[in-house]
Amino acid sequence: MFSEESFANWSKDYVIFAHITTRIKDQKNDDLLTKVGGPGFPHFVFMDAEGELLATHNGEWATADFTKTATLAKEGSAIKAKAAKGDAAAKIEWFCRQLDQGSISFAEANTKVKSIGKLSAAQQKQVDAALFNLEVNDLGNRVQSEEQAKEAGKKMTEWLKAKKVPTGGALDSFINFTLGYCKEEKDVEGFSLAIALVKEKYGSNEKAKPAIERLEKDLEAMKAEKK
Amino acid sequence: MKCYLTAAAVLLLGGNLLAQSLPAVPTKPKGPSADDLQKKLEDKLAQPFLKKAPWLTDFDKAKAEAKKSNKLLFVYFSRSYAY
Repeated sequence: MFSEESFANWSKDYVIFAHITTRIKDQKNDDLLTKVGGPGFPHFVFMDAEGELLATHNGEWATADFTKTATLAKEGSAIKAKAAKGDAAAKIEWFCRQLDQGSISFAEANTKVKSIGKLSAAQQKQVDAALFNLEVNDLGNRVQSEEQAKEAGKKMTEWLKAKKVPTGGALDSFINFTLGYCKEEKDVEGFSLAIALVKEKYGSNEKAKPAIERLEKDLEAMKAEKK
Repeated sequence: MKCYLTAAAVLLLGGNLLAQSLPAVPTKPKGPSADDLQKKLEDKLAQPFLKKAPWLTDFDKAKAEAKKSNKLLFVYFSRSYAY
């Protein structure tokens, strides 16, 4: 696609930047993908000249689809500009966009929400859900050791038992940590609840069936051990 | 603590998601040396597609160009390391 003339023509309206994650020690901006909430490669986003994430591309890898995302990015740019001028509604809208995109850290979002202004009930619900997703991702991303993984798994299992469950990409992290923790700690209740989440998300996928069956066998073995 | 990466990774692959989005207990990557990583980067930067359109590969330069030209940045994330 990038070698085609159509892409070269399309690219004239944008500054096209190929970011290469290198894992070279002290390489400048090597963690940029993580900063924009990218889950892996390849990943496409639109940014403004300050390097602020405006929109994440989730469609096909084709110029027509990139253009649709660019339109969203331009909308985001306009909202950001209005927010910067002090427009209260734009401030809230821009904040919600940042939360949805995952382009704001949990710590920053947690601080910003306190001064964002009065939210409608629907906005509050949206913000609360997005903040929780950020908190889950933040907890998982900070894990650097087995001990920290256990602590993260323990915390997420507490949330799971309190029926506090994230959505989107944060859910996958949540599932992974709770399954691991509950299996290790032989927490039948937690393991069962985590499997229910797996089934809810992947149950209709034929390819996931062997893995789900394996999880259920593990659960039965755990229950038998407890008897 | 054993990480349930295997089962969950299978699920994610079955769900057609990127396996590398699954956070496991991070381990230090074993693989190429610093020199190897540098060579891999050079190989990546030499790829033909980067010459077919005016790609920039420096973030600061890209931002400066975006500011100067009043254009949005279209960012393509890729990697040069591989194990």
